[in-house]
Order: sequence, then structure tokens, then C-alpha cells
Amino acid sequence: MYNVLNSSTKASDSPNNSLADDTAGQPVQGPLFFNYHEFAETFYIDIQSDGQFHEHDEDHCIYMTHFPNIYVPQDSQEFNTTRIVRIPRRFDTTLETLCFSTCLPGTEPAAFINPEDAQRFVARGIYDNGQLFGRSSTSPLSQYLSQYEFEQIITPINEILSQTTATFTWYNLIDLLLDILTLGVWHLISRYLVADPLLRLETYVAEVNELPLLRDNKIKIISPRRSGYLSVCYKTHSKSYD
Amino acid sequence: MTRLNMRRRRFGQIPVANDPDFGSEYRESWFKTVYKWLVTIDGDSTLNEERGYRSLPYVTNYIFFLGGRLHTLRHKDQIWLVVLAIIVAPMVLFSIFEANKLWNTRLGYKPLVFLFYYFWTMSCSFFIRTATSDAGVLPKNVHLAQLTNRFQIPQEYYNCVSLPGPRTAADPLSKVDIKYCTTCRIWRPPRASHCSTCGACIMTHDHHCFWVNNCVGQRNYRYFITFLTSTVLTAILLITNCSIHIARTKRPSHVPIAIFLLVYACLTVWYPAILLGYHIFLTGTQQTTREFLHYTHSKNPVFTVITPAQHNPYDTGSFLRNMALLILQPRGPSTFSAREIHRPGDWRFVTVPGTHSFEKLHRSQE
Repeated sequence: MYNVLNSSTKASDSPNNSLADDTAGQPVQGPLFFNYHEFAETFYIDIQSDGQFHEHDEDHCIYMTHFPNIYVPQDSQEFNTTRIVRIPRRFDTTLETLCFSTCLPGTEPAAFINPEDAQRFVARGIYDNGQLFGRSSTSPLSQYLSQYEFEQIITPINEILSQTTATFTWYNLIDLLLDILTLGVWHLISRYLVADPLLRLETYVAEVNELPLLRDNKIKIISPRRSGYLSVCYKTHSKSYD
Repeated sequence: MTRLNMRRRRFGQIPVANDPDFGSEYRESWFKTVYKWLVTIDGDSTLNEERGYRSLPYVTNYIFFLGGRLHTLRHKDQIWLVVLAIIVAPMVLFSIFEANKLWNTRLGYKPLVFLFYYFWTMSCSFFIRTATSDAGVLPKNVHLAQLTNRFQIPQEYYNCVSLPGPRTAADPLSKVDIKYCTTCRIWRPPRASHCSTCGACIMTHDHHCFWVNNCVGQRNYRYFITFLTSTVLTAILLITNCSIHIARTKRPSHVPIAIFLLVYACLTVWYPAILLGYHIFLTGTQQTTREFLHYTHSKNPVFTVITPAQHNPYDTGSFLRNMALLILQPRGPSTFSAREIHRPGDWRFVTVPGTHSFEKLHRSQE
């Protein structure tokens, strides 16, 4: 199995091993981006086996690309029937504003790729309460969205966040000055006078969730507000093994 | 059950609780509701369907006042009240013994008296806001990895992850390090850190301030800087006003309070002034206190010479731009608000089992 992380650089672990050694004549390369939410598991039920947990070698591990839906209570039915695909933050374009990855999970520069699966989510193992997982970084989201469609959804989110969380804007400067000059009174009254600029993002997410592309496939974006803007979460229906 | 929830339940918006401890007939008394609104010290794990201030103390070390509008830390010495007294005391003495005399002269001292009160009010206001407002608390359990083995944390999550940062000519290999918080179960954004005193991860964590009994982070850093600046200006104006009064008096022994306030202001101006200067140089090199102490391996920030950190992806190369980026950074939304109403069973208020997994450790040693 081709593994980008093993090929040239590894984008995790200690800071030093993310850089190739230039003294040995190798080209110097920085860390590569990947979805840091995913992780590998070698102790799982092979989908074509006897239904028992077995230890597998590292070349046959499965990758956790979807996670429990923490946006609903644990005792709800939705918790058992839905999963979350997390889109991570990325920092290579700017550090001044919030920015989420525009790579569909599995297409990141340092994603684990399984040539047999050809960028499709193919279930290979059962883990985490009967959930199905593949042997690559490709998530179940790839069954519903193409890279282009995914990028079309995430890019406006990044644009809205870039506009609303930028430091050098007139609104931010005036807000700060008024707050100081009025001894903090502006802070108390501004919430009634100025609408929260991040409400634009809530409106956008609600609009996107109404698109047939998402609605027909029963997938939904969870507003980043609910995750503290730490990740964009897609809710997909669970593909569990009964 | 609060009145709010009783009303919501009456209209069928939330189901009746079947909690074995309380029973479906449980009704919270109005006295307890009012008391909990005034001060919430302990979280209510059994009533996980309330405003944040009722549930947050269960997963953090905060206690809340006035329905979550203000907070401080429980089980800690309330040093911030002493600091508040140090700020208030000279104003009281100045108002009683000095202000009237300076105000009623015809020598143009009124602006000095006015400015003293203006900056004193600013100092007091921003001190309270620094001490009692949200420093940038991040939600918990948002990045829960799995349900297996009692929410076991995978080995990969214990690594420090290096991701590409904005590449510049000066640093073409720029990288940003992020870590998973095993306590809060989230991938912390860069510069965020877990404060064990507060029991929460804080955005752009500068330091936990002993004097304000709160963390200084992204959402109150501008308040903290304003507090330091206004405190220094207040002390300078107090020195100026008292010096004028003493100079205009034939016998200084007739104005003992003016002399006392002069000495008081001369002594107390130094600490905030040094701290302000220290923060100006730190922000000018785009470092938070925590990053600087980590970089220099020092425990005493004041006596350590501030030097720019190597391979700092946040450093723009311009002292003023660096300073502006940290001091003027938008407060951003409150991501774990004490005022917000949350749904029953909200995972952010759930205490998940501890982080240790002997099975995983055993397997990794094989």
C-alpha cells in the first residue's frame, strides 16, 4: 500500500522528523498537511472474516475517518445512526484568521492512500461499536461529495471567517476604541446595536444544508459554532455492520 | 428544575426527566433558582439541560455569579479582591482629602482631576472584566475519538503534530505545532493551552494570572493590557495631583494624606509599569508569556531578557504589526458560553473516563 507519510516526510511526531536532512543532499521539505483527526487501528474485525477481533499488521490497519456524533445525546437514536466526519483547521495560508481544510478527507497531501480503493470509501474492517472503516484516509463523505463540491462548500465558510475574525478591520479598531473610551459601556450596549457578524456563517450553513446535494444524501454540516470553531463537522448516516 | 425549564416542559419542548435520584416529580424551589442565579458554585450533573452557568462548574473550576455574567475560581485565594482594594483605596482617600481642593483652585487643575477619575474608572472597569470575563474557554469533548474501551485515546493523539505554516522567504519550512488535549478531548488550536487551575483549554493562552484569579487569553488580553495601561496612567496622575497639592502648600506637614498618596502611588506604579513594558516587548516579538517561558526554559519572566523566538511562524518581522496582532486580535465568539442554553445530554458537559489505557500501552510495548 502506498503511504505518502512514509515516502518522504512525516507530518507528525517530533518537530525534527518532519524535515528531511539537507546535509545528506536531500531536498529540504517542510511538513505536509493531513487530517490530524484520523488514526489507525490494527485490532479490528475483518469484514470478510469470522466476526472476531484480530490483530493485523500495520500494512493492513484501518483508518478511523468518522467519529461518534457528539452533537446529540448518547442515549438518543440519532447517536447510533449517525457519524461525524471532521474537517480540520489548516494554517498554511494564514495564521491571523480561522481557516478550514478545503481538501476532501483522503485527498490531503499526506493522506493515506490505498490504490486498490481508488479514492473511494471501501469498508474493510469493523470497529467502534460495529462501524465500518476503510484502509485509507478516504471517509464516507466521498460517497456523496466530490472534491470540487466539497471545496465549493468550505471556501465560503473560510471567506466569512476570514472577514469576521480579521484583526485589521475598521470594525475591530472602532469597537476596541469605543470600548476603551466609554470605559467598557460600549461592550454592554454594542450587542443590542451591532449584529454578530458570525451570524452570516450560521445563515450560510443553514442554506447549504437545504441544498439537494446534502439533503437528498442525508448529510448535514454542523455549524462550526457548536464545535467552538475547532473543526467543521459533517453528519453522515452511520454505516454499521449488523 | 428551574422555572424556565418548568415552562418549557409544560409546553412539551423537553421531556420529563426520569432521573432516579430526583424522580419525575422533582421541582426546584424558587429560592434555589434565585440562589443559583446569584452564585453557582457546584455544577448540577443531574440537571444537564440548563444554561451553561449551571453546568460549567461541573466540568471546570469556575464559579459563576449573576446568571453567568461574572466568574471566578473556586478553592482559590481570592487575591483579586485585595488587588481591587489596592485600586479603590487611593481613589477614596483622594476624593475625601484632595479632589475638592484641587478642583476649586483657579489654576487649571480641573483636567488633571478629571483625567485621574477617568483613568481610575477605566482601570477598575477593565480589572473587573479581566478577572471575571471569559478568557477564551474552549469546549470539551468535541473531538472524542471513539467509544471503544471507554473512550480510549489513540496513540496518535499523544503526538505533537506539525502542520505546514504560512511559508515566507525568511522561513520556507514554516510549521505550526498542535496538540490534543487529553483532558478536554479536543485538538487544541495553535497557541491554546490547558490551564489546570481553571480546568479548561484557553484560546491564545498567555498565562494564568494569580492577581486576577483568571487566565489571560484571547478574549481578555485586550482588557488586561488596557487595565495595565490605565493603572499606570492613574498612578502617574495621582503622583502629579498630589505633587501639585504639596507644592502649593506652605507646610507639607499640613497635607499628610497627599504625602501618603504620593508615596503610595510611587510604590505601586512600578509593578504594573514593568508588567506593561514586559508585555509590550513580548507582543512586539509575537510571543505569549507561556511561549516565551517555554522557549527560554525560565520560571521568572520579569528577570529574563526578551529575545525573539527562532522559527516563530507568527512573527511578521515588524515590531508594531506584531504588537497590534496580539493586542488588537478580535475577542472572537465565546465558544463555551456560560449564558448559553444547552440541550439535555450535551457532550460538552459530560465527564468522560480518564485517559489512561493499559491495554494500549501494553500493545505498544510489544
